[in-house]
Amino acid sequence: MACKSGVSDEIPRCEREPEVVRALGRGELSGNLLQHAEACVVCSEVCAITRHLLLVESSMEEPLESAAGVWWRLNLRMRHQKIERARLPLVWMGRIFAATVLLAACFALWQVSLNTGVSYPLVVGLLALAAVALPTMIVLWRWSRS
Amino acid sequence: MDEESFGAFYEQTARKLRSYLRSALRDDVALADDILQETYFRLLKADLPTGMDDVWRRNYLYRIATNLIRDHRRSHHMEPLPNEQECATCGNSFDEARDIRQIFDRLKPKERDLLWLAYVERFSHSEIAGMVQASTASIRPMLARARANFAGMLKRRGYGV
Repeated sequence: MACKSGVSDEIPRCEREPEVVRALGRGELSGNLLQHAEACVVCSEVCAITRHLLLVESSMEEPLESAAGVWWRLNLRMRHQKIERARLPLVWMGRIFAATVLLAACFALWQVSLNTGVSYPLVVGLLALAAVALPTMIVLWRWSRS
Repeated sequence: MDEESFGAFYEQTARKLRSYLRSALRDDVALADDILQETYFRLLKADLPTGMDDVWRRNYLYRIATNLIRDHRRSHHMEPLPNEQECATCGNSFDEARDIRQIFDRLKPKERDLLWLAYVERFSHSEIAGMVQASTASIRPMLARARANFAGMLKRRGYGV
């Protein structure tokens, strides 16, 4: 029949295998194709294995949850995930704000302990801190709105 | 994807996808259902175009499922099953489907995936290659080896192949 053996890798092959598989799936294996499948080593093995696997598949059939139920649950989960994603930048904004305040307070206390009053390094330090913290918080705020 | 098109697609694919998951996960129904839900969740999250071809969408769905199965196998070491002789003595089942399923479960995970995708789901070699992350040319020999293994195991248990 149409069967050939692969010479290079010695794996038997048949060009009509996909056709046989499709016909088996539709339950329409008949005529010429059936004769071929019975005579061909590859296709007869494919037929037997497909039948065994379809038997296994049919034994697995159990009632499924309704599509409406799944849709509702998946959408609820997506909403939760969106809320979580929106909250994350806000959480980080809070952390950065707290860290900035803490750093500024430490810096101010250090300057006070040196008894220099409001000095040039204090002002520059606080401005530098604000210059880093403010854009970061703006980016996070925009991210939470997206 | 709106509710109506999701409903139609789910009705069309869920039953078969669940069978594939159960076959790949050695019939762990609870895990198969979890992965089934996660698969549809990722499909929805991917926000595919509404006018997309159902065949393409089905391929995408199976690709997600196959990736999730692979991730699960990597993170959970699956216990090896008893060998054929042990099983022949421990199981005295007349249920042919269950018996074949037990034989099928003894194949390597990749062999199970290949056989199921090729002969139950009837995906083409190039579609399977995309799902299992292999080259199209390598599918035919891998499938032939998987088929030969499964056929040999079935024959040893007295099933005609």
